[in-house]
Amino acid sequence: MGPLTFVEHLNVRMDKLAKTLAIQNFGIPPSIPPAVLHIGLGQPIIQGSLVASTCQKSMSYGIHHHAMVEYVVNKWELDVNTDVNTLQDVVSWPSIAKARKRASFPFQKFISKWISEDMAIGILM
Amino acid sequence: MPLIRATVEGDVETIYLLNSSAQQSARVDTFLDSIQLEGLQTIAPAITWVTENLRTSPSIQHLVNDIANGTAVAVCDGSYFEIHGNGSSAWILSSADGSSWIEGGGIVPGPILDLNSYRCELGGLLGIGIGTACLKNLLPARRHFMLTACDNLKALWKITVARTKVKTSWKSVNFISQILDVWSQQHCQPSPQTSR
Repeated sequence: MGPLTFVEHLNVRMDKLAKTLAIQNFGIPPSIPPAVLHIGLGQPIIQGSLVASTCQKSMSYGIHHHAMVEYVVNKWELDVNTDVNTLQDVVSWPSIAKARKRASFPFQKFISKWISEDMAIGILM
Repeated sequence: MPLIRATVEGDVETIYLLNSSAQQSARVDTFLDSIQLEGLQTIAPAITWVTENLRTSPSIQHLVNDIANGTAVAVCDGSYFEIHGNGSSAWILSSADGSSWIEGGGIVPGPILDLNSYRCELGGLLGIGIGTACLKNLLPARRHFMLTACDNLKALWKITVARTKVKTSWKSVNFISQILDVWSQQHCQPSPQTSR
């Protein structure tokens, strides 16, 4: 392996600078930029959260997620005051999301209905 | 008239637009117009977080000449610390011999959930665009190119994508739109190359 090229040398220098800046700011949460800047797309704010990435998905999450958690809490007759927050820890939402994503379309509907206990059974089928 | 602000509400199937801004209010411009870099009057950065740690060599005239001649080099890198929930970007514009340079960097802003190494690299590419825009008044008003290098190919190719092809479903689309906007406003254009 030969010596670094000029571009690689600069890349190493920038890697070092970036790591130094990040380490100096450990424990400080990143700032939230203004929604409308002089350049680039304007960014929506939903329920106080800036949507900066994958807009449709983030907007849908911002609008529907809390409502869905509340719905499940009511459906499963959990205590609203204590269980809304703990529900997010108890239920493995990433697993459910992954299962829905990998399933065929009919099974996606099945999984949603199964989670919400809205499944047609017995004489309803 | 662009839509600036909207209030929306949704249920399981539909998103309702409840209200939207009718008038675009005049923006109060509190930014500096220009800054001094080693005796040269340059344009103030349009986005400030990328220039939080701005440093230059004792003279940047050689760098300006090399950018005009198409021999300058721009390199950036990002650093993401998932456990600590922060990420940073650093960038440099350098003359071909490395004697004259401008470098900068900062902490990548935005929601922690959206933070990843790709976003940090895009932050560095945004820094290169903003840094070059600062020198716009010193550069020739003809199209010229600058080698722009980064070790994340996926991020690197975003800097030359057509603005009309940008999709809001892309990750960190706010940074991508800012990068494309800042390059579209200057004669200098990036010539992407991987730094691996």
